[in-house]
Amino acid sequence: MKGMATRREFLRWTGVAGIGIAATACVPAAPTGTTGEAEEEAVTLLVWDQWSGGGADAGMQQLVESFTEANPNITIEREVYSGNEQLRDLLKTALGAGTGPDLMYYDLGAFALQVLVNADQLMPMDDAYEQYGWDQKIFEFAQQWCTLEGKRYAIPHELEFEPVYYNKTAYDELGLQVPQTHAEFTANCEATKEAGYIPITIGNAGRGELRHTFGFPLNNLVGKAGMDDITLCGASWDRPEVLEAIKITCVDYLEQGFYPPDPNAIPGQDANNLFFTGEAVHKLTGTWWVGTVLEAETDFEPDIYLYPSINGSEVLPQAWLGSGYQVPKDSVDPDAAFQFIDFLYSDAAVPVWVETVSVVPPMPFDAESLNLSDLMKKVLSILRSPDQKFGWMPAGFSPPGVYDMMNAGFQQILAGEKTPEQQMLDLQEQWQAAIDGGQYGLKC
Amino acid sequence: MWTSSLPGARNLQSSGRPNLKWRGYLRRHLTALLFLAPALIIYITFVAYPLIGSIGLSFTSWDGVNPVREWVGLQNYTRALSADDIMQQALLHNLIWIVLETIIPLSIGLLLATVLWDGARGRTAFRTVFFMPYVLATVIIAIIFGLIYNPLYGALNQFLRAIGLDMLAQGWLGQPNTALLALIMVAAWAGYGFHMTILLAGLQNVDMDLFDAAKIDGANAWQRFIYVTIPQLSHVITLLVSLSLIGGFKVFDLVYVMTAGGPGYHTEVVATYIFKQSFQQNFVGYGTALSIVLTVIILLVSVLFIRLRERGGET
Repeated sequence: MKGMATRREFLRWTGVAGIGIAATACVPAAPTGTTGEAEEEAVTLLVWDQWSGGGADAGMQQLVESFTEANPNITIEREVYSGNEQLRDLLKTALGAGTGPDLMYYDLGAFALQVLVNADQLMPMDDAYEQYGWDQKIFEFAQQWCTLEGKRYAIPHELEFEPVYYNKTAYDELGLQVPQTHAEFTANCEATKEAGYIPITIGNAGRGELRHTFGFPLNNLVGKAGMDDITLCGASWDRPEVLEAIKITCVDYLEQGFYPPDPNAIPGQDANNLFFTGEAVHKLTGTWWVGTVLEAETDFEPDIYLYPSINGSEVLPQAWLGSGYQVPKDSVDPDAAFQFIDFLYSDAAVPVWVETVSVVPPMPFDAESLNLSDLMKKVLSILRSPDQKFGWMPAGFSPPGVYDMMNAGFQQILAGEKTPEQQMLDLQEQWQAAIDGGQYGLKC
Repeated sequence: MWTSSLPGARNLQSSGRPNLKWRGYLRRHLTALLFLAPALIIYITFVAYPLIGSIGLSFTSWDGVNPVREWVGLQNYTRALSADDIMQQALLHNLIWIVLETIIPLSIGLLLATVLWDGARGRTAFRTVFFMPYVLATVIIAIIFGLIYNPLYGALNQFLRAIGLDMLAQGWLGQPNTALLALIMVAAWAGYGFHMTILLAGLQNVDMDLFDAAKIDGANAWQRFIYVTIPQLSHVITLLVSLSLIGGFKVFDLVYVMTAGGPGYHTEVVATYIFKQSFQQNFVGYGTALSIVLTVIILLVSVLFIRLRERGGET
């Protein structure tokens, strides 16, 4: 895929960005992307975002203040929501009624972006991409995901992938090594279980976390070409690799006693706490968790590695783009919104995103000068590795029907009332229905 | 009268009669209408108009945001009533909920009301304590019981282990055979105080002469309760059962917060399913059709129940 090739160019881009930063440093400071015309007129932008809590909110506020200081004619009025779910319930109604925001930071998943594009509620951003040079800056695969019916409707903001978080202190105490194969991973799990730990913490109550866990073996087994084929071109889920991935996560790990008892009854936060308190050794989740892990200040050293190869398969971490900035078609001043976006993707904003908010924007930047935790450095080193390919996160790209089937179906398998084969067929049925019903736009 | 001499005066008089009648009606009822108007306007704006709008939406495949609402006729209703297994499963869960959620709090409430009615010491304090769960927000109750049922550190499992019943300790909300029952128990805990209070109020109207007559006739306490007290509480019980019926069909918050319908679909109820279809899956047209079906079911069941009760009361 083109996008992955672009990501391989990360290092090259980083070098280019480094030069860019040096060059900008020599130029007198100017308000980013401010046009003379916009300076004349005062405008207030209502921005709905999800930068809530701790570092995220503080970081965003810091960026808003920097932007408004440089652009005094633009006032940013933030309305902060706790997450995509809360936004989703309000946004559709608000946009439909013409009372929505002027700019929003919202999910890029099929359930979110596609329905707004279908309803003609978003402004195509192709002109802005060219005007501000985002088409050269943002990784191509990220642009590709936001391209629907040939137009770019969002600017993705979070480059994230899913590693295995582990308790390095426990590993050292037990004399365990970072596994290179899945057999070694399961052997490590066995060893930690013998030592009285919960090998893998998971909270599958409510919406459940197994859809994330499932993505680990899925990507490795299906491989890069296969995942692109499914995600971008709508290929079938009915394949042996999908079945094997379901079996590994929903049957094997459960039967081997790797999960805590009754995972269907454990809420996600409790599963996290099992890791933070050192009771569980592994947690399979995304890099968005880095900030939470750091804030938890654990008594042990947390670390990450990539979910290893299964019987010689690729090592393909599932990646996703989180949420992105989108401009509603009724925005009071799209140009001001684009100016603000441009500032958020400027080199000046990068340290705030990475250091304070623990978010990696999908664009090249100079990471050397940043003050980062060891965990974040590891995340960036994996992202910047030129040979590392990335797959797709099913919990991110799946349309609503598939998403719901993952949640309910995996719970049913854990409860022993559904077979992995049936789950695979049900996923495919929902997948095809979404494609046929226009809920999932193909990209190839 | 001068008008009688004019040609066509009879016609004028006769055509003016309805106007006069209407005016007279207005004059007589003006005060009442003025009092009714605010409530009527609010009702039409927030109930009647949206209801009619919803009926219209239920015949479309609207996704919740698109200005174009494609007409699909009866397709949504056909799917809801015949082809949607999850909807039927959810409806069954509602029926189980209604039955248990009617019997359990009503029985507990009746028992407590009878005990407190008999002039027990500290009845006001007990009445307040028993009623307290009802004033808690459902979300708070859901969170608290989520902690109690937690398989890792929940009080229920700790208690069972402490008394040697380790084999019963489990993830109550994660097991298909216990999840729904565990939720219903929470709802019963939250509602029995309300039942008790209403029944206690009903007991104030029990005719004590009938009680004394039954005593003289040799009826024991149980017989007096069954044949004297209960019949006199029938209207109150009808009210409580009707409320349980309606509440059982529209239950949402407790289920959504505690299990979100899981594991699988074992605690899915119609309201959570409607929410998921409408807001998570973007099938607002279908979700609206499900809402209309639910409204009709509630209406039919409530009317049927009240009619049956009235007939029972007459005989």
